[in-house]
Amino acid sequence: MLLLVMGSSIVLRKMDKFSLGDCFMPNKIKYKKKVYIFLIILFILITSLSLSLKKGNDNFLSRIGLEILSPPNKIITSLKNSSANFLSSLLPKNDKNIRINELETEVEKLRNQLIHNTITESELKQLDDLKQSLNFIDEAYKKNYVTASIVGKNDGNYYTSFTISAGKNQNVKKNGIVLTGKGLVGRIYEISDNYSKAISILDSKSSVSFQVLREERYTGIASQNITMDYEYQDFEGYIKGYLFDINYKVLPGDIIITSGLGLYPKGIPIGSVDKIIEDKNNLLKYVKIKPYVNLKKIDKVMILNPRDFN
Amino acid sequence: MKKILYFTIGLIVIFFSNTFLNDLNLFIFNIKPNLTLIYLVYISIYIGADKASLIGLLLGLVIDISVGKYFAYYSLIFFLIGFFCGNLKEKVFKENIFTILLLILISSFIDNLLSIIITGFSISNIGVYFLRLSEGVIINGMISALLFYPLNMILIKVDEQW
Repeated sequence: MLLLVMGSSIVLRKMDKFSLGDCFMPNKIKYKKKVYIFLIILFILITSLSLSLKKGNDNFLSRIGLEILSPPNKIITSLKNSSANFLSSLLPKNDKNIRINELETEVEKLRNQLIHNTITESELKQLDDLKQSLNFIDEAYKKNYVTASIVGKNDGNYYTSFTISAGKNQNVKKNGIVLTGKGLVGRIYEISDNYSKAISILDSKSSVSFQVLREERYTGIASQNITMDYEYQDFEGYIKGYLFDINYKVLPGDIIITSGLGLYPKGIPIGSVDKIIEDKNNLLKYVKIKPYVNLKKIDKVMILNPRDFN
Repeated sequence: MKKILYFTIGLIVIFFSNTFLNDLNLFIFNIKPNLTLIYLVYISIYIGADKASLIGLLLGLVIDISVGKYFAYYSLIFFLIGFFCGNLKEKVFKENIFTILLLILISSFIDNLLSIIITGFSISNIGVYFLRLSEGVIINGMISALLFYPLNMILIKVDEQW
């Protein structure tokens, strides 16, 4: 709105310089024409942005554009990746780095195993009973995934959107869940024939229902839209969340996984608790979650199609 | 012809930003500079409001479509930046680094401010927003200062020869 006001005031000030007689002069008519074109474009852009903010980015022009503009991104990304691999193969191998990589892989593997073990057989049976009413994920659904690469990242500083090299033709659907081996990345929000765009869990539009792995009943909602009045915290690169009960004894380091309610199936690792912030005035307990996935360093992702709630 | 050339260079800058720039950890802040915005400000004061706003609109549209979260977000920002900076073509001394820096700082401020407003502004986190805004503006200012001499040289040559 500020931009609109500023733009309009400059244009109108320029228009003031002309008298009615000036309008009949060819060059002045041309100038006035330009002013009208400027205002029309401005109006169209502001309307499109407002619609996009309200209804999302899924329009015909976007879909066609995504098909045309993503291949160059894909080529550049694959060139970049192959040159980076080539250069790293030329460099002498550092034992420490190899060891760190090995340990990271082991930690990831153990974490996944821990999550798998914690969701016990009895719990699975319980979930099975509830499946009909709460639409929990079933085994057939779990296998229904697509792997793809990230061809372009983000439209700003905070790495919240990605372009992925899989679309309708690869059976990707809107609201599909994007994840890596380390954990949850986000969901698909725009889709064309061969490409799609995803928003990460760090995006303000994204919200996830979570649970603490250690204690299943400790549940809450993670969303960047949560407003905290109690304490100033920088959540840059972190996920905001609040617990449903202030008495939940959540500790720093606790593993946070998806609870299975809503869009995301149960058991996908989200991150670990970094800090707990108590707001006694509002009887709320907030958590600052450090995501397992480094959103700046993902190249390959897996897309699970959304659950059919019907 | 010049318009096509500037637009093509802009496209290369966008593809570079969408791919290579994401992996570079060269910056002291945890954010990446908006190279397209820097490029647009530089060319705007050479080519004037008409061409700059058109190129800004098209480059913005490319970003919105290729990686953008909101349709018409960058189109709007770049269209206005191209228009305002282009209007200063005859009024500013292009060879002065401080003029360009000032324009880039103002443009980055508007870009970052709008980004914060759109992603959900809350008054309680005003300190954090201020920090983010400053980071965005400072990093763009630093990069544009580094690019000033090479870019200016190229733009003067293109302006003379094409």
